[in-house]
Amino acid sequence: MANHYIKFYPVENGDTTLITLSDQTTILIDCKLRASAEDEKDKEKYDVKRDLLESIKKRDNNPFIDVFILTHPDQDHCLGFSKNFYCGDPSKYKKENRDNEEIIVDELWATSILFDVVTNDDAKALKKEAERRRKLWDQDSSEKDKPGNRICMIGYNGDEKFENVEAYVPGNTIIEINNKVQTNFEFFVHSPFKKTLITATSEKDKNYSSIVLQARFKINANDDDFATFFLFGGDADHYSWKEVLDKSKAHNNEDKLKWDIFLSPHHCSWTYFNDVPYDEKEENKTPKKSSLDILDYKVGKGKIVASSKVISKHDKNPPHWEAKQQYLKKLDSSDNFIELAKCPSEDEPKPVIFKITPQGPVKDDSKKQGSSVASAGGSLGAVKSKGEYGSETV
Amino acid sequence: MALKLYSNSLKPYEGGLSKYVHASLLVIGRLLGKRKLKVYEWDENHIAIPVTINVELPPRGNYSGIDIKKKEPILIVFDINCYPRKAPKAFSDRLDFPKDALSHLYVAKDDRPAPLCLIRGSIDEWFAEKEIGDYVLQIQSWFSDAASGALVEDGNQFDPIRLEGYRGTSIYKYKEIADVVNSNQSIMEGQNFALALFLETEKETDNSFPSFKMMKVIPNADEFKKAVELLKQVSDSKNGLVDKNLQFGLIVWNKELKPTSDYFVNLPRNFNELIEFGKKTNIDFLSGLFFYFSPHSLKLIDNIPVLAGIKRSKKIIGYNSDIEFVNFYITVKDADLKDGTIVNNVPVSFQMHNEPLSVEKAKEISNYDNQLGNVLIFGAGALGSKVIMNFARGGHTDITIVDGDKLSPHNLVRHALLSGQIGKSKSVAVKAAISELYRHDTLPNLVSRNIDGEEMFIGENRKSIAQFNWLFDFTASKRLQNFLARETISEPINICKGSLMNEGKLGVLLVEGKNRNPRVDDLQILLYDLYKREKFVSEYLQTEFEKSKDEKSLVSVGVGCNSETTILADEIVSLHAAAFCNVIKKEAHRSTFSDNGFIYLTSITTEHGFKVESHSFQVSSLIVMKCGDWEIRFKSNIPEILKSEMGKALPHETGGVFIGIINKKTKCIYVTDVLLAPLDSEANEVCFFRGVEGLPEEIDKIKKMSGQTFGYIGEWHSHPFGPMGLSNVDMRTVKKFLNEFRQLQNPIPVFITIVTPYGLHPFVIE
Repeated sequence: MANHYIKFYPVENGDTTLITLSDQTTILIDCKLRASAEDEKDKEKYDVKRDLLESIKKRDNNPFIDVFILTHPDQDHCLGFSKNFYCGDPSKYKKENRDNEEIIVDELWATSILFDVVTNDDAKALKKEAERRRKLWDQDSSEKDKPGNRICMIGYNGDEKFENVEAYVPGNTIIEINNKVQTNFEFFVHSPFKKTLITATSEKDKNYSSIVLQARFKINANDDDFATFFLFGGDADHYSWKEVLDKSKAHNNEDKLKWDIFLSPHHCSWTYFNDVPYDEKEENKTPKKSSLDILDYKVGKGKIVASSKVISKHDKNPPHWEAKQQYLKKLDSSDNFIELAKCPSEDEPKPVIFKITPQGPVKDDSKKQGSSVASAGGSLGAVKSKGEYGSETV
Repeated sequence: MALKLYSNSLKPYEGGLSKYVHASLLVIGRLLGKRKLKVYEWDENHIAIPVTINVELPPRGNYSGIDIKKKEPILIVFDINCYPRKAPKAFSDRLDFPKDALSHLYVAKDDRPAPLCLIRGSIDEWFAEKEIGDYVLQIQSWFSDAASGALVEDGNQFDPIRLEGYRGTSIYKYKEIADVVNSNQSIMEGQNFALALFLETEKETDNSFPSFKMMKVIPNADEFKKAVELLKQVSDSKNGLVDKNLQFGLIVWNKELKPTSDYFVNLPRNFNELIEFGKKTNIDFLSGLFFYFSPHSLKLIDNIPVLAGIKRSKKIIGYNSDIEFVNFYITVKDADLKDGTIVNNVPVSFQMHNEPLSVEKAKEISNYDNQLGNVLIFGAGALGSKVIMNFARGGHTDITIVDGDKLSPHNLVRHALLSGQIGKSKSVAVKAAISELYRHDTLPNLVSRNIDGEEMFIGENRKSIAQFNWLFDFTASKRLQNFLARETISEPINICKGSLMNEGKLGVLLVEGKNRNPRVDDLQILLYDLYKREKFVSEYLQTEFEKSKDEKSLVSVGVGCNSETTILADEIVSLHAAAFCNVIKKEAHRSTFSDNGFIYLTSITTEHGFKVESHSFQVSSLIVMKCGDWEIRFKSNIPEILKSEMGKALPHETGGVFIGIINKKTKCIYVTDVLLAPLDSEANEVCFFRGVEGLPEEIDKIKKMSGQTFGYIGEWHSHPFGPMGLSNVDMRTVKKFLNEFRQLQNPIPVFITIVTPYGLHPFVIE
């Protein structure tokens, strides 16, 4: 029997998280695909695209993911989308798209803010693609149900424009992933709330209206209990999280706050704990109770993942040194605070993979096994750097 | 407190190490941060390396509280002679390792720790593509999985005990035995054992360990009485059963069927240990064995199979019940018995279990989803038997095998069956072979008919045709092909013919179109008609013609493999049979050619190294017209060509000749080509004088290129303003032709077609 896996890619300040379910369904949460490492000196840039292509499936020889979730349209959550993901009618996917290894997104999940506030090129490409898919719903075209055309709104701002499109709102549980009902996996939708989507009109509001989800994994369909909870919310700030906490309490949904893995919001930013700049006001330095309370919904030992640059005392937020200290206080051991930029080493970070076991998520090293038969690719440092040879005796 | 380690009992190793072992030890040391590793002697061929590995423990605490630590001492055992061909083995070095709680441990040998079962399948095969660093990672994963409850393949099911060091195999249908246990069908009331009759299959081989194939369960007293009667009949010397290597065995299970989750990695090796094992598992071996030896003395040979059923808390992985069987055999010589009791501490061995093959299993492991339905197969010769066995091995057993022939010794060169079947009806023997493959399954639609194919269309047999979805003809019989061509078959059955040509260099599979158009005979002709575009067809036809000159026979259109003089190697027949079978399975729903006919060819060439190519062609339905007893079968494009020519020549008449084949036996004229009016032809509104310029040369060229297969068969001309019949002028020509054609060495009828705006009007005059 296959396991579920969660893979966190090291992308410095940004998010790229791949969930692979036991039936091989793939869900990518945000992306930050930079150009791959250019030379030996730049090897801390992990080749995320190559790894992603090796981790996902192909259909008719074309790479695809089942779902892409854009938590919010910031550049560090969608960088490289236009270059690496296929945009347009999937039936027109051609050889040149295949040669460019463009990944088809079967089903796109986004919030309505994508249609309002976008500034960077990748977000614009995503907006255009989402618009293309949305129009299929307006036309009630049968094409809208085909892989590569599906779209699903997370949160609803009341705009008529999205009236026809399938949507999930806070309080919903999603069990249908890319037209397939999952029996051992589900998402619980915490955010964005309608009112924040309506009022979010400026660039800075994007974080406030970020998608917040709890992914819930079971080993077997008929297990009573979930084996792992993964709570994540893009760049959602402490205001959003407070609302998540309050609403969950009010609606008897506190179990939806549980986490075995918590992805520290906004790349281990202080915004999760209080307002920034940290030093601007003394009161900013005290973490909000609601943010600390959420961390108490930890199950077992818990793991907190920082998808950021190496966290330094002297760097500007994010990531934030004090935020890390707050997280550490909630963990039994610093081993459970995982800085992706340092795994396994600062020099050459690699993805961190968790296998979902009956006893929670366990870091999985077996996927790092090699083979006795090998050859290197063009991305090898030795290939990209000049080699010097000579017969002169020094 | 320091852990008690097994390695403390081992002596340091002082011998040499191969460079492979040495290099791997360096890697292990580097990986685990140890500069120098200790090396212990495991046995004369193995060394043990004690190391401590870090284990990633689950965040929610260890599964069922199992005692696995963050740092685990292990032993990696290398075969000093065979490493790296043989993978190392890994053991926990802890004496208190919780082995009874873990599924993925092999049964321990010789009081040693139990080896870890690191991967599914052969570790040596896995290691052939891995390095020692991967091996260490795999051990770490194993411990991590063990701690987090992820070792079990499916948490809803019970992972059975891993067996290593088993001696021989027990073959039985799990469900049959599990049913006995689950329904507590004991031979004696209040007891927990049943009997079964086994066949010892290794007796006559070099194998030192027995294997037992279960023949019959004896679950109740009535069945037992019958068995004892059987025993009495041969009781004088028991030779009857011994000669057949039959042996009664015991099935025992635990009282009250109370589930246990313990793993027993130290399985009993002798009788005393077996009794101890019974106490742990709540299985009463003694009562069963006492019954076995007294009063009936059921022992026929020394090795006695004993299947012990342990109730588990969940369904066993790979099985459909929660009873796990540990398969023992006890070796009891007569001297070990006194008053019906085993008095010596006799050896006990355990065996692996194999399920007998079932149709479902065959389908599963050959990835076959039966889409063909019920099939009727004519011909169980070389080609037919192989295709049938390919189907059957894939789990398709809805087959009626029709063959009136018997298996001769020379058939064995190319037949799917073996020498035990000589003299038997081929159809019956092939059916028996399939039944034996699936001896535990009922195969209601597997039928043999010791008759020729034609007889299936006569009398009562005729009614059965409607039940079939496909009819396959693998007979290479022209008689049957002619019969099928003329027989009216209105049932919606797909008809397909497979044959080998050109000494096996060409495999031909022909599938008829919808409503039998095109028919197999059409397809055969249209296959030859490919001579125009496929060089290998033209070459084949020419070669056949050259051969026919020597043999003083007509062109052969199919090689019968049943002839002793047919030169054809078995592997060639197998290759074609395999290709046919695969095409047939893929085209069960005619996905490629829909209502059309279909020609599939496999061609083998050996001139420049062995080369296999395949070709396939779709064939549209033919235009079929009747004229008295004769049937005219026009290739689909021909009527259009004729109408077009008539139109172009208007208001004059026009005409030309037909190319094709006439089969006088089936009274079919196959029109494959049209030659237009030669240049010296003359015509007006009411007359057409067909010229000759270039015509003989053109026909001779066709004859040559097609190996004399295709040639002149008749004529056509247009009556653009009518009549639809032959005119007086036409009749004069017919008479002239008739006089000539009747004198031919191979006479042909006169065939003339009139083309009018209303259609074609063929006339055949003999």
